[in-house]
Amino acid sequence: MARLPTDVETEIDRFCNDIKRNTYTRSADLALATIFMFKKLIGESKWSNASELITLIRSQAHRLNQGQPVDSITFNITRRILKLIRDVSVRIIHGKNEGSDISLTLQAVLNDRAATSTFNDDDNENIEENLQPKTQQIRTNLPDSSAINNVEGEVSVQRLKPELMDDLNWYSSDIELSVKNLSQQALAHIHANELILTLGYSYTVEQFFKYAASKNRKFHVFILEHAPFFTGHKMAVNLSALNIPVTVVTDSAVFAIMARVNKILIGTRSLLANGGLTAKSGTYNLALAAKHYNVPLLVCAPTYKFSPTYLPSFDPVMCNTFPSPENILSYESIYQSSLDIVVPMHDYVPPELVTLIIGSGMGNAPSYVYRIVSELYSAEDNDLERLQKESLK
Amino acid sequence: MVKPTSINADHLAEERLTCVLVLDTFNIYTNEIVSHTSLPLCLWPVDGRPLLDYTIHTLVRSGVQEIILLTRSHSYEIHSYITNSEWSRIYPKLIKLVSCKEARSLGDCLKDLEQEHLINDKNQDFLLLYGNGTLLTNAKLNNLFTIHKENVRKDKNCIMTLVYRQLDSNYIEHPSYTDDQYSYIMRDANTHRLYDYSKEYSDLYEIPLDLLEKPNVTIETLYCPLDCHLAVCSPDVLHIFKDNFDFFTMHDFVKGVLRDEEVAGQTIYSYLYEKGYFLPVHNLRLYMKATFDILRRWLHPLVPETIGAKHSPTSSIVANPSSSPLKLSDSYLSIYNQWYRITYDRHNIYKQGDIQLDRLSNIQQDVFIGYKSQILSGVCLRSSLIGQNCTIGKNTKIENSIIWNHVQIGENCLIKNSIICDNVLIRNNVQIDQQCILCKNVIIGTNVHLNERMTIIASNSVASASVVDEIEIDDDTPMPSKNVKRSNSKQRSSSTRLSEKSFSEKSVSSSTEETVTSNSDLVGADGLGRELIFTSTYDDQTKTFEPTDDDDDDEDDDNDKNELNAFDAWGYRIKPIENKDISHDDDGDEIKSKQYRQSMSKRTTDQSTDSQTGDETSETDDDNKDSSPDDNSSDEENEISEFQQEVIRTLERAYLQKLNIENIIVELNMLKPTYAVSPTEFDQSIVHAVFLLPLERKIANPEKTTYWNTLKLTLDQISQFIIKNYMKITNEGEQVLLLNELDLICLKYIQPIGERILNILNYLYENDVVSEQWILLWYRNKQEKIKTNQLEVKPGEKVYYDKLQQFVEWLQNAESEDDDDED
Repeated sequence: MARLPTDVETEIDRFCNDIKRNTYTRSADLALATIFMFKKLIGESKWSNASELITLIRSQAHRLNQGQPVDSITFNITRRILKLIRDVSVRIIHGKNEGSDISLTLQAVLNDRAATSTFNDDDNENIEENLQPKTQQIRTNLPDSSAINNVEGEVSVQRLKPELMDDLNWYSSDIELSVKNLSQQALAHIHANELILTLGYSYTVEQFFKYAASKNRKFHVFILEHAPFFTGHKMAVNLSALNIPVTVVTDSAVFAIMARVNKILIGTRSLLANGGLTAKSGTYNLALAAKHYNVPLLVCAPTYKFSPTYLPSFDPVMCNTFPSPENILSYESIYQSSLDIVVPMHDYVPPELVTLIIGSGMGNAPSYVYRIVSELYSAEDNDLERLQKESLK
Repeated sequence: MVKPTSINADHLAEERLTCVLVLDTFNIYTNEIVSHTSLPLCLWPVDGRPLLDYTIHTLVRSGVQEIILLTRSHSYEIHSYITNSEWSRIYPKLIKLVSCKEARSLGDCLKDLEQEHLINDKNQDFLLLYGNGTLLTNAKLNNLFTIHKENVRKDKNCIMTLVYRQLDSNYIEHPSYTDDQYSYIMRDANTHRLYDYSKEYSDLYEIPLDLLEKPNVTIETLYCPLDCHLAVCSPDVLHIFKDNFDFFTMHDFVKGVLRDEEVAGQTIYSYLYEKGYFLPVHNLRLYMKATFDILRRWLHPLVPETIGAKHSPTSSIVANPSSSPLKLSDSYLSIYNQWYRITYDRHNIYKQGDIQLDRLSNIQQDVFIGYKSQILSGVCLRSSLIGQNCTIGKNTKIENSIIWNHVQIGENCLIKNSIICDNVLIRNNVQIDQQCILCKNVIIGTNVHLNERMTIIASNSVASASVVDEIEIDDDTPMPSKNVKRSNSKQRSSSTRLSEKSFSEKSVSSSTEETVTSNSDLVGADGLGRELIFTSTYDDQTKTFEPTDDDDDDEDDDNDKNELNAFDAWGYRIKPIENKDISHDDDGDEIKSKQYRQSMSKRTTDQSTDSQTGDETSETDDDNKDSSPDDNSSDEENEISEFQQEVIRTLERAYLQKLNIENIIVELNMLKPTYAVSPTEFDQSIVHAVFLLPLERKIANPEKTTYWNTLKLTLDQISQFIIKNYMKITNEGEQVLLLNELDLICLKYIQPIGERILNILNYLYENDVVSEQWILLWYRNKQEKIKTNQLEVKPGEKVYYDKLQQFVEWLQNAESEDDDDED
């Protein structure tokens, strides 16, 4: 049976503690650290075949996400790595020739069909059950892929490990380059003499502007200051260092300024499967104002921010974090312990307010996100957070 | 790319960041309450985790690679917590524990640390967290090391950087301010070098004028900044603490270093945080504030749902077999080894694992509810912490309170601003007012109303079992109160524990009615518990508040020792006893129960103490009566006789071991501040000791030696030098004092000493211990007194006066002969 050596165990715990303490400032750093951690786990723990490895990772997944919202990046990375393991094992069994490709595409089609006919995870399951006979049918028709679900059990360590490590390395370099790839589409979206509005600081958005500026595109950026964190100030400083004309606007003036704006370009914390966003607080206001004036809202989202989950409810407490009230009220104040202060950090933006999502490869409509998600992750791993809840009871 | 975290890199040759936590407040009131709660203050629960956990999280977050915990009491509990916690597993080399059981102050602890040689690198700075060592902060502290380094670079004499947090100018009203944080600092506005520092509460401060005249110095005053109880220290700090044994607190240290600045040249700097949350928890008021602030998310990112959340231990983790016996030992600690998912809900409501919440309950805001707790219908909760396995009865209202684990609260209760510890049972219709503490196992009966600021402890506390051997010490035996002061907390705890014991004995020996009546005033007929009253420390307080016209040094020492104990467990300044009657509404109750308690314990002493204790008491009584010449209060007599006994022991030891004279004198000098006796008392005691020592030895084996022979022996060896050292032959006052004392001794012990006065005086005269002119002067005064009937000569004393006269006559003759010779 698969087992974790103690040093990997402590490594995981340290990583969890690092996440708890907000050690990683950029989401890409967190993503890379997660992959690094999984590489260590795969490399140093004992397992004999792919299915054992999958159960091992699944058993550890909830630890990594302890105390984090369901749409967090570590979850996405975990799912992506599971998917990679499955893909690699299928590739090993069926060889790199056409045979495997057929089976893969078939499965993808099935998953897609399941995903299109539903919006909800639970329904998804039911429909998959309904589809089960069909799947069986197809499988009997295609003897090559008959044991597609048990394929992982046959793949041994010796064959899986090197290929998997290659894939993981490729994956981490992909993440490293994702922002760069994304920003190279800047010229397609930022046109000359446009007035672009953004909210707060986002590394991705900054790189996006930077690329456009480096290609001598002339444009003006309005920056909402993102109170009470005021990350917009940092954005303004960074952009004006690149000789981009910048105007900082208070958050409350978002509706007033919207009429003048040509385009809105924002980053996001995560992208949900329905195309909705969980982004910085104030984004919902921004999106509603944009809708009112029919200003296009573009969202920069690298691939690792795509999450296969939906919001469990519209309760703003879910998928949100509440940092210290010190952002609003100074600790020095004598009312420090007598005032009730709520500082939400995120907003949920429904997909109908989003115009375009700029991913690493190309722009997509929010209604297309489910498709990307189903290619990125295996449907079998969608139940990770349910596992997490069960394990704690 | 991925950087290894600083913890992983600890094998590198980089500088190790070290932090020293001193896990004790050294406040006797706090420690007394803590001793009735089964957990040390640093392990008190704060939203599901111990207080210490939050500090360690902060330190690890700041990149500290080594944490040294200095523990005094409860070191076992802290040790077993640390070894079973995730910390020792995830970061095996992170935490070191040093137990300083004997330490009575911060200074003692640091001396112990110095001896352990844990900080031996010449250039290794370390963070020192004192005052219970539990600082809650969401700032990263690693920049303090660079700040201190920078200070050292600019001024190589800098040995310490004190850390403060700026507060609003209206400091008194700030919720983080408690009376014991009062401080006043003068520093350079540019370099932040400290020039003056005071913690004494006063309306008036003198600013030394020469400070203002210093060139290039802009003086800035900080009035009551929030003292973080945090300092970055160079290793030299430990040496200074070691060399100056009178540095008890950080206040002593800073004062001392600033005073000796001219000589030693060492300087202290300060650093003022202007952002971030800081709360040093060292009293109960701050403990409660910490709990509620964390619920209100001031400590983000260290919030309960992330700190308190961890995976449930998987089967793959092999438990360390050596730690298993520790695990079983303390059921109170085992709470911390269980992990449940904490969900955060709107209005800052935290739910730990499965809880039972009635549909009609009203959970308002800022509430933490622990695993398996039951909240019944109509309950109203606001700003409260409910521990695990608690039951809150119908229509009960709880506000701003902290309730630990396994507590049962009945129906229709009202609890405000109070702390309720483990296993407490509160029956129906109870009202508990502000700032009460109900310690472990207390039961509060129906319809009871507890007034403000009461501390209720269970009568049969388990803690009493550990001090059975100290049974002969009781509040009522004429124990010198100096003794109480000397061994502050130890003495305190033992006396209360003793009374507990007497209570339990009582209930065993006689009918249970007694116990019931004893509690019924306070906790109701169906309750269990009594109030904890700090009687002896109140006395102690009055003593120090009395104007003492003695030596200045002594007074200073007293103040220093009591500086920490001038504040109660809630951080309020304790008023002198004169004002006590006015300030307490429930004083009547208090006095009543105090009297009751004393009578109880007296009765038990009578019953239980054996004849030996009785003898001892009478003996000390006699001593007091005879030895003290002045009309002092009996307390002071006791102190002096106690001191005298100590001096006798010292001399005896010196004589038996043939110690060097100089060493004895140093030793005697060191006794002086410990007992806080005045110089006159000291000299008196020395004389008594010198002349009574041989007496005791003679009593021990009377057939071998006579008193005179023994005295001569001791005088030859050491005693004369000691007398010479203290009672200079040139000093009239000292000489007369010596003779007066000798006179007293002789009158008291006519039989062995008085009859030998001739030999004694002759010896002293021959050896130049006393000079003739003082003898004559003294004798003349004495004769006058006898003539004017101020002094009565009893028939038994005739022998003594005859001998005295004989000597004086001889002396006069000898003098005239000498005169003749000279002429």
